[in-house]
Amino acid sequence: MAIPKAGARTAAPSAGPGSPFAVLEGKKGRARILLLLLVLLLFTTVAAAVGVGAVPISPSELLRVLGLAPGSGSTADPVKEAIIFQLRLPRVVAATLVGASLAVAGAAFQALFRNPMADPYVIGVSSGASLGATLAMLLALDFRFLGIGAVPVLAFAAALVTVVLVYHLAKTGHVVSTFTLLLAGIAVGSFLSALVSLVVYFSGERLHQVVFWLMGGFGGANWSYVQVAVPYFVLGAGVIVFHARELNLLLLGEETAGYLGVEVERAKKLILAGATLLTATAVSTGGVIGFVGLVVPHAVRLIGGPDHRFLIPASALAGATLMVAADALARTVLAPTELPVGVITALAGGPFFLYVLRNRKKMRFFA
Amino acid sequence: MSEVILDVHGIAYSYGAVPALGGITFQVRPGEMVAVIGPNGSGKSTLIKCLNRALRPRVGAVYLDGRDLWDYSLRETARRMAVVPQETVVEFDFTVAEIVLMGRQPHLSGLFRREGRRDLAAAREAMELTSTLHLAERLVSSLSGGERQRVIIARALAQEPEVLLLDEPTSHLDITYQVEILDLLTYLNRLKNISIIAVIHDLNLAAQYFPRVILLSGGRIVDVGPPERVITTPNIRKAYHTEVLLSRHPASGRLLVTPLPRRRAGEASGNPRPAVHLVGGGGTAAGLMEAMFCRGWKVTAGVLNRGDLDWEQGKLLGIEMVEIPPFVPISDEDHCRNLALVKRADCALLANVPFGQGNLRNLYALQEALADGLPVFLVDENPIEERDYTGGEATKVYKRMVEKGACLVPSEASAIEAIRGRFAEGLTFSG
Repeated sequence: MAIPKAGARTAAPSAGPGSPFAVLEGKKGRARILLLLLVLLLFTTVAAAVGVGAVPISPSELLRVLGLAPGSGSTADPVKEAIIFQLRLPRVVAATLVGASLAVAGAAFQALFRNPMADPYVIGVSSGASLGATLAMLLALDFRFLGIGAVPVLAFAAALVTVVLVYHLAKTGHVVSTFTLLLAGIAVGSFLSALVSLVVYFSGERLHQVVFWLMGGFGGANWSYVQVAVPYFVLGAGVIVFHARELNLLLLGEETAGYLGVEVERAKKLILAGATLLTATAVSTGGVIGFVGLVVPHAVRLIGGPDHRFLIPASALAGATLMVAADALARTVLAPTELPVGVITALAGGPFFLYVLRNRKKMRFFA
Repeated sequence: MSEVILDVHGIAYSYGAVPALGGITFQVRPGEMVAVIGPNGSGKSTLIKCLNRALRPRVGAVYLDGRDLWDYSLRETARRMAVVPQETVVEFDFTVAEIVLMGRQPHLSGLFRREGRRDLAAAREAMELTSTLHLAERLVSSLSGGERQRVIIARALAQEPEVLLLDEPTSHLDITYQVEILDLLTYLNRLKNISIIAVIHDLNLAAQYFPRVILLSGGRIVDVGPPERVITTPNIRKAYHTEVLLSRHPASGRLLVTPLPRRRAGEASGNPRPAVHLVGGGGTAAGLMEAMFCRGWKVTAGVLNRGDLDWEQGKLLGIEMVEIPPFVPISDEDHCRNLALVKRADCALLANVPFGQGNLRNLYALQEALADGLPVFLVDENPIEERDYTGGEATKVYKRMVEKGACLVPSEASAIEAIRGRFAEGLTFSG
């Protein structure tokens, strides 16, 4: 559509339908390009993250080991193959899933609560998960479930129990007010955080382990984590992607969304369930990693606008990229010492977000 | 489509134990424009919310096109009924085109619910009708209040509804935009035959734009009908506990509502508020009626013919009158009723009215009242001889009254002053 702007404005009614939406068409096109760029960026980051470490691996070696380059398999070094498959790749994939989960959950919560300060932990998921994890460590529970240790299993279970509790506290009749939900989440979260502090206080020689977990990291990630996390991620993210339109309408207010035919309570429940599942999965896999869920959706929104049909997939890709990069930094900056990844996300994410915020006029990709 | 698009049948709603709405029954025909008026807390917004499914009535039912509103799915409702809420806050940066397209939500189907040509055409038409096409690319957050309200109406139109509900669509707009929005609604109502039900705060705008109004007070309907019948002094007093001055615009004949300031307690003792019985006719008393009414005096009026200018003014102000059919002389019974009204007054006032055989008994009534010791004031702008069409009888009575102590005043303004002066001194007239 090469109609000049002025022409589009004064177009006669006889002109075909759609001309005032030419801009929207253009926007869609740009959104596709941006998503494609984000996919490329994610793959590049993944390749780089797999490559860095005590044993550097070049991109060509990586491709060869993965069987994506000519002469694959036969010439691969078995040690490097083991490093890639057993150490780095599961860790990078776990970081991808966690980053994407947190960013998608953050975007969903921000729309659901119509609150720019909302993040995946807003209704107490993180405090619940922390309590579960710290208790597991304090009591030195030692069992495995689907190949996963006691700490993530308990973190996941406690996160879900917390949200169900908060949800029922906020419910009056059949209606759950998002405002009450937010307040109940904060109250329950504070209470559970106090319990976590108590547990930390009594954790004795396990203090280091507990504190490290609370700051987040992928040190223990292996394929079983990924295997367990993938179905939850697909389910949670799927529900939210499917509700992208409803999220747009919820931004106009729940009442207005209802007037436009959205079954608000049902949509809210499903979105809440999806976002909670994503967050619980992320926390049990990587610990409480802050900032990604808050900042990534905002940065993407500032660049690409608020339409969730774009915002959700773009946030997933950007969150994944950021998390993979942060984890790579966490294990290489002070190698062989590993930093908590939550420290990196906050250190890098904060200034980056401020930069985007200050330059949002220039950076605006749309409208 | 049936004869009644919206049938509200005895609905009631309460917030917890606090009743907000009770026994509301009315019907809306296709293509009707209805204003809901009433004071704050009278249940206007609650009524609109019961009609748009935001609230479910505890008792009664709302039928949309013959079917219980709550039997429809929300999507079906949204295809037939659109809502413009009281205030729309768009916190995130959507463009006008995006917002208007959201109105197509209830029409979208399929797994991905993509907008088709039909949807784009409907959204485009909605923008054309509301003159928002040129704003398509603008961010909603950058629009003025009036523009934003037009965009929200465009979104509602994109739903292609049969019924449009608006909750105070103009209350936070300045006068230019108020008129613009109401003109737009009238236009859409005529062009698309959409039934419109709107909560309107401003009684003048309600009277001017809506052929039918519903007056609510305390959650109940006080009156339903054309504004001339519903917006009356007694109804307004009942609903708002406020005195208003109703008048007709001299050129357009439209109803004008002017709220009168409440009298403070301190003023009541200093300023007299006498009860005055006014005798006029043919428009000679209309100005006096208004002036005394605005001062908070209790005004009654002597025998007036229906359709007479003074009678119309009296009706607008809700004044107690002895009224008789047009072109009919005053009967014995009317005369007695007139005398009864005069006797309840603190004084009587005769406007600068001409006398013929038809209304001569009004003069006799005053003569009798004077004889009974009631102060009588006579507005004497034109000599009585010029106003006498009874062959001298009126002049004779008039002159005798002056001799007996009736007070002549040269103009309407001096009449008001004279009465005020008399009662401010606290004197009562005696013999």
